[in-house]
Amino acid sequence: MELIRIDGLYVAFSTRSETVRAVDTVDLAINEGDTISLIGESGCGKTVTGMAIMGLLPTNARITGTIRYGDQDLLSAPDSTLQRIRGKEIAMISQNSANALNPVMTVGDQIAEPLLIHHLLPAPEARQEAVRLLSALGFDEPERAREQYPHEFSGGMRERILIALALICNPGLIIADEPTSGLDAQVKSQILQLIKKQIDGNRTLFLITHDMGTAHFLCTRTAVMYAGEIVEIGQTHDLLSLPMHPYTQGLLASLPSAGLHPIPGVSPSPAHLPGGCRFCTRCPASMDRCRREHPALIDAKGRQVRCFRYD
Amino acid sequence: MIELDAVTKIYTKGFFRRQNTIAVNNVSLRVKKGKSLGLVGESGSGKTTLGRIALWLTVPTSGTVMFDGMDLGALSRSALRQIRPRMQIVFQDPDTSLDPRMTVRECIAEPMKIWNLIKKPHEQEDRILELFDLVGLQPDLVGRYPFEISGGQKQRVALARVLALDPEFIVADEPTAALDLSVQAQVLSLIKSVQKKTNLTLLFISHDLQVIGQMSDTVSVMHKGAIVEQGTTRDVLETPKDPYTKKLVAAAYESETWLGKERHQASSKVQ
Amino acid sequence: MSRKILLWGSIVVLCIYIGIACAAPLIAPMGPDAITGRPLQSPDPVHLFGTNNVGQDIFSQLIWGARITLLFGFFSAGLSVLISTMFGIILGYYGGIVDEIASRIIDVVIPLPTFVLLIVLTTFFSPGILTVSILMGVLSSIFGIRIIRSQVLSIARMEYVEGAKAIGASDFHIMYRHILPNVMPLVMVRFVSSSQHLLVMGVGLSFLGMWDTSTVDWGTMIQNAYSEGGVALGLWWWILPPGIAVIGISLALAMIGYSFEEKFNPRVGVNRI
Repeated sequence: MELIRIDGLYVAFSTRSETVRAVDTVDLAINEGDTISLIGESGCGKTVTGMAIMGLLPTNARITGTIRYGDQDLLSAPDSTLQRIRGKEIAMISQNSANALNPVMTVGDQIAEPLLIHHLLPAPEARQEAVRLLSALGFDEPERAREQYPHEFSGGMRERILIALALICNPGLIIADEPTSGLDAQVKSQILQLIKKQIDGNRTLFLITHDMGTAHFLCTRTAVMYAGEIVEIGQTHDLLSLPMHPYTQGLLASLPSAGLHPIPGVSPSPAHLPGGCRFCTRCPASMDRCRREHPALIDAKGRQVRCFRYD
Repeated sequence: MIELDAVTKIYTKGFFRRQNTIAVNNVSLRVKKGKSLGLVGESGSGKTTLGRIALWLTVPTSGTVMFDGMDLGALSRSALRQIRPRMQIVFQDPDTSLDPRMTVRECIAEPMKIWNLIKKPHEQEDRILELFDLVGLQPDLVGRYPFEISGGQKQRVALARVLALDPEFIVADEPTAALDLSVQAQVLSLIKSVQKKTNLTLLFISHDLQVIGQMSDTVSVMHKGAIVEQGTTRDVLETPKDPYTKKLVAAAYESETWLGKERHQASSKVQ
Repeated sequence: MSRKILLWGSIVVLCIYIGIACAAPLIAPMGPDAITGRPLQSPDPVHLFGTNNVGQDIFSQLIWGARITLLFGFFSAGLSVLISTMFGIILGYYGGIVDEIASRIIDVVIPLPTFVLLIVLTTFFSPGILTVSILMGVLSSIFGIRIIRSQVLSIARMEYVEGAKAIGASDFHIMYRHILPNVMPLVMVRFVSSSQHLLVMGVGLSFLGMWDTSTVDWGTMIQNAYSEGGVALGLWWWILPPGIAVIGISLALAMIGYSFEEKFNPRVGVNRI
């Protein structure tokens, strides 16, 4: 059953001198129970896409397209509807644990807050629920942790608190934005295991990351974004073992374990996107056609690729 | 070329009730001329402090640092300053490693000015463009300010500035930790090629074992301020002996299990 | 949008004040001391603000008085900022024992009431305007040193300063070419807010008779009006003009200082020049 359908999403920011096209254009269908990841490097538009679903884009953003959730279009829904949905049905694990937590509120209060906002439980029960969740997420002394403040915890523990914040109202869809950035290898592995256990068949996961290992571990489907659009989308395992789009191939070749082979050139600035294929200046296999025409997503071998070579 | 012997650094906090933190604990290591040593460890292991001690930017509490046979601790302040051009550092965070009020041109020209290397302005400009070419930057970025260029470009500028002095030894402190994957690959392969071209001695610091594996000839593993294992890259990564090293290696390659054997061959050739 | 209007309005006002002070000989209808009319005349076309108890034209006095009042304010502010920047940079950069000792001394001096100190000090030095403004500048620089020093402390920790050391730059080079430019925004803010503060203080000091009461500046004008019965007699044209003039420039400077501070807030990260 389809949970979210993104159609023709276009997000641009206008500055005095130019228009920055952060997302141009994204079509994506997320079904209930899916685990799907959006992979890309900084500036490709993946975080903006996640923010668009949550309705958290700044007011100077120009957005067109629709994001269907049930019978609502999230992009044109009134604030009251969005507030009702956020935290309760769609929750986000945000990126930077240092900034995402309120330094002057206890951990317990922060975790319980969504329950109180959505009137799901009265205050005492909400606090109990927070403790239960903390315990489930690996805190040895959840009662004590509940009374502590964010700065008293390490990065890994704070990430767990963020996860608790997202899970507390039992949402159907979780958007995780770089959940393991800045964490050491061992802690990262623990957090990933934790997320996997919590998602396990019960929820839908929309993962935004630049780390392909994370995407492979958590998600069955993966979409690769470049310069504001999806360039390849398919089953994670297939996509990462045998990438089809030259950018995906280049990305995998840049991995240290693959030999650190760089992709020449730089990604185009979102303010000056070229006509034609956006990757063609850096592509080792570009053809004449690539410069002139802009490729659409083509079906090939069980996937969709945005490349003329598969036409 | 570089020798650290029994280096220890203890930080003390407080005036009356002193709290001691041992950042570096009795570390000894050697880097041969023209070779690259990888210093790997998690955050808080002391590797960053050690990197700075190797250049005497941070003064150790005890121990000696020998650079090309000279004891850095025994040098006078001005003598130390004189040899600074020969040993340089590239920092991790591209946002704070360049003065936000100086253009790229001024940044790279600064070392030349300080040491009076090139007198005439147009010769300076030539040298700047030469360095740009070496690090792969487009010439039109010369007049820009740091906030106008990307992280990868900033790191290249930092590298160009350091290379302006023709150093013999460079400490690279997690130079690509803040960069995207493809940009990291670009900057790291750049560092590798520069090292080969100029026979640089390199102390490469990172928390990423796989990056170290690609960039270094020998590896030293740091944990809580001490070296727990040292050896050639191959030895340490394939047959780690210390339990901590084993854990690091396991964690690093765990996330790579999806890279099956066929992948290795396929990925190194972009079709 | 209205904030921008306020800012530009303030800048214009400031320029007008400075312009008037500079062009005093050309604009003022009469000399500052000249007795040109009957005492306590109400405003008329010749004496725009009337005359004081001796028969001097208040309007002209206002214009001539601007010179001394503004000069006092900007000069002592300039001196204050110069001293506090120099010491703030040196102490913040070098740190160590010297910094510790200096900080303790500053901690001791700050709570002392400046006014009282000033009065005490001026009994040792002859109270001329120049002396007082130098003293004011030096005393108020103590507050500024702390502010500048703390920003220098965070700048000195930046990697680009360490990088400069690594390429072999001398301490002076680092302080002059790296720390000073990055502290400049704060210095400018300090200058504007010090000017405002010290200018008003100067008016206060001259009102109290800190220097020769025969000099014509806004403080003495207010003092004169007050003690010679201007308030009692309700002669608004005598009391109000200098007071309003002070409030005017004070507000303008405060506005400018405030928007500078907003613009150059170090927490916003990289500043555009």
